[in-house]
Amino acid sequence: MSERYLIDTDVLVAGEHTPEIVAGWIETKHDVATCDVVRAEFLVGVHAPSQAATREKARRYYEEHIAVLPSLPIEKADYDQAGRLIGEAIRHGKARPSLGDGLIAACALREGLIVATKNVTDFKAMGCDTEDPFKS
Amino acid sequence: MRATATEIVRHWSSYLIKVQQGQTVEIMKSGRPVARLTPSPGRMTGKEYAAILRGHKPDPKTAEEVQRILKKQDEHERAIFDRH
Repeated sequence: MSERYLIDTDVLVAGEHTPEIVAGWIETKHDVATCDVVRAEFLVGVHAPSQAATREKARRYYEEHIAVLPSLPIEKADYDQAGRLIGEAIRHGKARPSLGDGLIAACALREGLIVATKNVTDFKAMGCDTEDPFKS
Repeated sequence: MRATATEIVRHWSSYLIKVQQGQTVEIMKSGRPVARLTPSPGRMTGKEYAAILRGHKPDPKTAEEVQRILKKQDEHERAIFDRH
C-alpha cells in the first residue's frame, strides 16, 4: 500500500493539543500533505473565537505548523466527484458527509492518498483508504 | 502571466523557473487561454513534519476552542442537508 497521506483537519487540530502523539504517528510515513479545503476549515477556527488571544494563538499555530505543509489544490473535476461521492454515501445510507469532506475525499482519491482522520466512517463511505492516528 | 505555447517551448527553462518561484503561466492559443502551468505544492516526508510538530508547545485550551467551533460548524452544515 502507498505510504502517502492526506492529513484531515481533525488530526491537525489534535496536533495543537497533543503534538507528540501526532508526531509519533506521522514520522514513519513516507509522504504527507494536506489540501486547500483542510486549510480553509482550520482557518474558520482561527478567525471565529471571540477572544483575541485565542485567535492569535490559533493563527500562530496555523502559520507555523499547517501553512508549511504541502497543500494540494482542489481541481475542477473534484467538485463533480465530491457531489457524486456524498450523494452515493447518503443514498446507500452509509454516511452523511459534509461538502468539505467530499472535496477532501475527491482530492485524496485523485492523488491516491490515504486520509489520516478521526472521521473514518464518512471517508470510508466515500471509498477512501483511511487511518486514524489515534487508533493505530 | 500569459504566453503562447511557442514562446514557452522556446524559453522553457525561464518559464519553468518562474512557475517554481510561484507564478502561474496561462498558455494562449489563437488569442485565447487554453491551459495553465501552476506551481506544484511540493512534498514533505513524515519525518520532516514530525520535527516541525515536535517544536510546538501543546496548547490544549486553544485546540479545544478551535475544535468546538469546527464541530459546531460541521453540525450546522449537516443540518442544512437534513432540511432538504
